[in-house]
Amino acid sequence: MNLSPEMQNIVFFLIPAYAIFWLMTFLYVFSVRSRQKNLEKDIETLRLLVEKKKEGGGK
Amino acid sequence: MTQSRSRLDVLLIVLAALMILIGIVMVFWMAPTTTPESGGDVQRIFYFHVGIAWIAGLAMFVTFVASILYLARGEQRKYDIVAASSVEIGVVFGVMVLLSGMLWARPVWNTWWTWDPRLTTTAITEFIYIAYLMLRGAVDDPQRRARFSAVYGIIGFVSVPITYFSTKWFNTIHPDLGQTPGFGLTPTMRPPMFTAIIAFTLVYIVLMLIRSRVERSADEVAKLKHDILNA
Repeated sequence: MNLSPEMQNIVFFLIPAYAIFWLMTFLYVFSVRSRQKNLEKDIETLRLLVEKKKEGGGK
Repeated sequence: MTQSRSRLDVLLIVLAALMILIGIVMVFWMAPTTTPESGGDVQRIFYFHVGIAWIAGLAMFVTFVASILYLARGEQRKYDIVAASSVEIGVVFGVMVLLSGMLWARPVWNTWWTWDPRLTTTAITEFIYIAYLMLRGAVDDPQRRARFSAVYGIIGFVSVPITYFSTKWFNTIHPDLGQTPGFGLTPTMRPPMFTAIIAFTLVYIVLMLIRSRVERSADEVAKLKHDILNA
């Protein structure tokens, strides 16, 4: 593939620089969302346990 | 309440994405192509690089202010949530600053990295805030963790102005926008630059909202665990 030096700069440096922003932002949002989902699951389970404890009179 | 909150989330996400797209269009079709010595088309990295650096600095400043408020206003958890959430976003954007800077430096300076004062202080700042996150992870007691982090968040912030003024205080090859009138921007460079800054600020607000929710959910988990143990 024969690219002019200016085109090489665009393909190898400019586009990756912008791609890094999108990639890292999406990865970060995905990581935060999955942490949130796990915590929501924990909250649901723990609430059920609290209810059960209350119904069982703390036994 | 939950419905209006999710509506606000969606509105902010759409607005942030729209502003980023407008920013990209302006950067590629409106901003002038600079001289080959400044990188030619590669110089267009600068618009996002500066926007990202602005967010990294803003995130650390928010942590600094929240840390002061935490210690000054009776150790309220809400300030610790803001500080912890903001640092994480700052660290992510700090990595982006370093990577986008390296991608600009390679074709223009002919090297990925040089121990220039601006680059070095930026890397040191990044490590200081990575250490902040490690400190948070290492302390189990929530109150002690918040107190230590607040003190660290105040002291650690010293590195941010040093990084910003490093181009003024030391000999550097890094472009120095802050010391030139109009931030060294020509009239056609300003709209894409300011659009990028507004867009990234919106991205920061969205990320703060979703990240601080994780902290609040973690608090709820801790509270429920406590309730079960003491029921």
